[in-house]
Amino acid sequence: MKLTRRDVIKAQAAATAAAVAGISLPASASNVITSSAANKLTWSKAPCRFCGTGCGISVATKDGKVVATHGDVKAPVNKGLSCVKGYFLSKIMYGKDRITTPMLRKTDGVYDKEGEFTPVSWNEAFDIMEQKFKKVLKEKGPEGISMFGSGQWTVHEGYAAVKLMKAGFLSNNIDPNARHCMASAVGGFMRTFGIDEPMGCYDDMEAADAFVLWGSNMAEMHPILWTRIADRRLSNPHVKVAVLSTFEHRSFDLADIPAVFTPQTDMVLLNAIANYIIESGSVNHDFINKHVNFREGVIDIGYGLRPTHELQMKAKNPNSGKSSPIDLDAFAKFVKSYTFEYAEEMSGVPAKTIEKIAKLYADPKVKVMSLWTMGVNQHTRGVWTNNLLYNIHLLTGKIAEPGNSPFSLTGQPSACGTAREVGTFSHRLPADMVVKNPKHRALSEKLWKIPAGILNGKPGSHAVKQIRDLKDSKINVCWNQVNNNVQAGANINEEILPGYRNPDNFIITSDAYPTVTAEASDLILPSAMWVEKEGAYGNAERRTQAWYQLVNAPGDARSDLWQLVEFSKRFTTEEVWPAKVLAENPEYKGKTLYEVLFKNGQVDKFPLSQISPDYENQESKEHGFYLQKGLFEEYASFGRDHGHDLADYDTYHKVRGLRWPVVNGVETKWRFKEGSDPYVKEGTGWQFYGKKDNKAIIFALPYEPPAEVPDEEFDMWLSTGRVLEHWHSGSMTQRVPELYKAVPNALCYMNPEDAKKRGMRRGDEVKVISRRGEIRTRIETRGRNKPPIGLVFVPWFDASQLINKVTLDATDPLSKQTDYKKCAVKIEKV
Amino acid sequence: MRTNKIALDDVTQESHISSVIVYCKAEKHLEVEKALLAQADIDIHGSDEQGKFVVVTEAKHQGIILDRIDLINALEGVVNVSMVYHQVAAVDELDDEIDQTDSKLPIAEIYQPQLCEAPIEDASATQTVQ
Repeated sequence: MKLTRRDVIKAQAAATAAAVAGISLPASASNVITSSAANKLTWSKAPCRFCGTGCGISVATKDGKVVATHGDVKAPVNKGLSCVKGYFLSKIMYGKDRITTPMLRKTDGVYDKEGEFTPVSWNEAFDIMEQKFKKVLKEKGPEGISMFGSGQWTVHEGYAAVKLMKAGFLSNNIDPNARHCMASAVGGFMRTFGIDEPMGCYDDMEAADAFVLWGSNMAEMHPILWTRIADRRLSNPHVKVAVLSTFEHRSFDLADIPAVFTPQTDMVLLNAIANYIIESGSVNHDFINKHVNFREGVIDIGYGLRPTHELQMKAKNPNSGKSSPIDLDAFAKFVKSYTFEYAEEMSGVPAKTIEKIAKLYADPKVKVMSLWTMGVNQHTRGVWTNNLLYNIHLLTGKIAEPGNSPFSLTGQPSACGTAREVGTFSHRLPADMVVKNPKHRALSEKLWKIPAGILNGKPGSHAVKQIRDLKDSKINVCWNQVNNNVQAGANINEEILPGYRNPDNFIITSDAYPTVTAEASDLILPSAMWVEKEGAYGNAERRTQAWYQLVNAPGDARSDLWQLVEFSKRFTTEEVWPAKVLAENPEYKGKTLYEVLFKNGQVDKFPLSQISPDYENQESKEHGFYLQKGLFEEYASFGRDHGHDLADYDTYHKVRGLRWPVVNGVETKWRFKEGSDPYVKEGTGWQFYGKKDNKAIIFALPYEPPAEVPDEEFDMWLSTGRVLEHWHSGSMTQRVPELYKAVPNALCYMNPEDAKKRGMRRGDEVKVISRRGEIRTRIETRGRNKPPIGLVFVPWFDASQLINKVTLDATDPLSKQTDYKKCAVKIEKV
Repeated sequence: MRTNKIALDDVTQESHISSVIVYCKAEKHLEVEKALLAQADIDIHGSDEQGKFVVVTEAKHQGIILDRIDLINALEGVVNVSMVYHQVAAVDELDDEIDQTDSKLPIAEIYQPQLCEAPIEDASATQTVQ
């Protein structure tokens, strides 16, 4: 029997699936092939580039292209499985509209803000950028420039960006769009524990007896982790799953305890559970006495709107995160009014259901894992709600041990590894340090080998403020990388587009594809993506994973890292640093930023010979040293020996990720717990060492209403979110035609009763109108998202519909994260 | 301002080969097996006789593969379909004939999906592994 190449590939596909499934395939004539050249592929590992789960992917290349992928059988996160986003990764880089050359708006051959995009060389692109940066730096200083990135930056890229902005330009105006998804989570961690990121890990999913989803739709957003939870539930009948959300979605299929609550009342439910834990005598007093302090936060803190906004002026303590010490009795008194009856009245969830959920937390025998993402974080009281979640785990001592785990999930592949750990926020420095703290600045200056006292101590403009500053001409140059802000930001009509098109401003966007943001910009830089460059990501369970460059980027596309490092050559210290500093530190005179930031004896320490001979490395070869290793090792020096230890860089190319802190080569699964965390002293049990006295904080915080609630005219809640097939704003996944086909247009999911009341039917074209703007879309009354009466849900990936024209830019006053999850709208037939 | 134009006309001379694992309850195994066999363009490459199948499918467009996964998901008794492997290949080389020898090795041993490790010694393996 003759065999074809097709048979070989099919045999390989089957063998791989069989290995994942643990099935041995029978030998038979049809699947026995031994010719070695038939499907000669080169396989390498890389983490998936889509979400914060951090699945391991085996990637095959052939003739300079990625041709095959499969879930990495040996990856502990996904054990060989893949979800629909990761399944077609090999197609992501080969969309027809891939940008392969810089594009500048020009008329008659010269730059013109109203001109047409025209291909230009890198040299010309950097020339105009240099000119604009220098003009603004001269006129306004470091406050006049900004950079906006995301959790899709690799660790190296985010680190280079922070260093260029903060140590080079002395500007703290750098923020990631993680501000829109993770800032409240970070705020919650810092406030309760004094150190960022989850104490537990995915191993909790095989150890927990109960799972409580607070607003998260894991079935669609974190499908691989959901598979692990479903496995646990289906093979262990005692396991319970509670799913709480403002509308019914696919995760409800597995729910033993389903609950649909009125937006914002998650805070009421959490306080009611705390109250129940106290009143039922379920407080773990031994744990509380040894490891917890109680504090009461100030209230009435506003909505993070412009200071001139009516709601903001009304607030008594706008933007205040202050608190004062109390004790358990005072806390008990504080939550006493949060009875199940009151919680039912506020949330619409039956008291009996709330009790069932409360019992999961209260029962000392039940190991419980709480999971949440945007529902809690994109919330005008996001930090508070994170605090309230930790409260119920701390009251019962159910924390930092297998199965007992409050777990904040992330959306982007390196929201943790880059945005948070590297500290690409306007107020942060690497390893949880902040620009405000003089000691942190001094340490950073030392590690960066830059003059003492040079770093800017004033936090820069965060994501939402950058947008407002662009509109108000306070910032005049903005460089976007790895994000699609025009689509993803809130209040596009009034804030974002006017800022981008403001004639005073020059907007640069680095991207692989012509997103709406790229097209609203003045200069587009073509970016290399995923395995077209060497990189590292850090996932939601503190796992750092690295990959090699496997293929070359098309045309003139270059990695964001190359762009940042290359651009630094355009500036001398005299142009960007104060004359006084240079007079005191003459050895820095006459040097370029490239020389002081990257060719500084540290980043350029590792020769090209240390790069694996099997892989390409475009940036390193161009610059003459192993750039990624140098950046990583310099960055890692910030975190070693104080709770953020990373392994040496080469290790990450050999392993399938390690969870930090990595001490003596060993990763940490559960932080803060004796025996599993090397930083916890023997005999202490737990140490929350982010706080000086090793104690975590339980916060007394009340329910406060959202910034906008439905009224007579705008009579519906609007909630936004994602669907599985379109990750984030869809700039990547929409390139894969079948992902686009799966949900071709964003829909307005509505309760059939609401539709009936308005004389509308499924498929009708409608306008979703808020006080700020409107979009047209179609009504969907069936399907997988089932809103309760009075609420509509509109996914936000569709560039032609831009739901964020409608949303309010109310933010959490502490984290500055935007609340996309609730505002008031009305629905009208077109 | 133009909004994203999606390259839907992504028609190339490519073919897509994918594998999935189909899960059903053990008592439904025979029933699901029958239903899978009745589907066009789906090959069962193996099963554990207790509710797990290895299925391979090929299509001109990966969207068709997703449609087939939806179809399998909708079969009575199917609990879950897990996606595993995906490869794109040029249509005109798929029919190339391949030299073969009469090996008695089971397929799993030839295609050890042992990826991304140090190079393996066995020259008969078709994967160069790094």
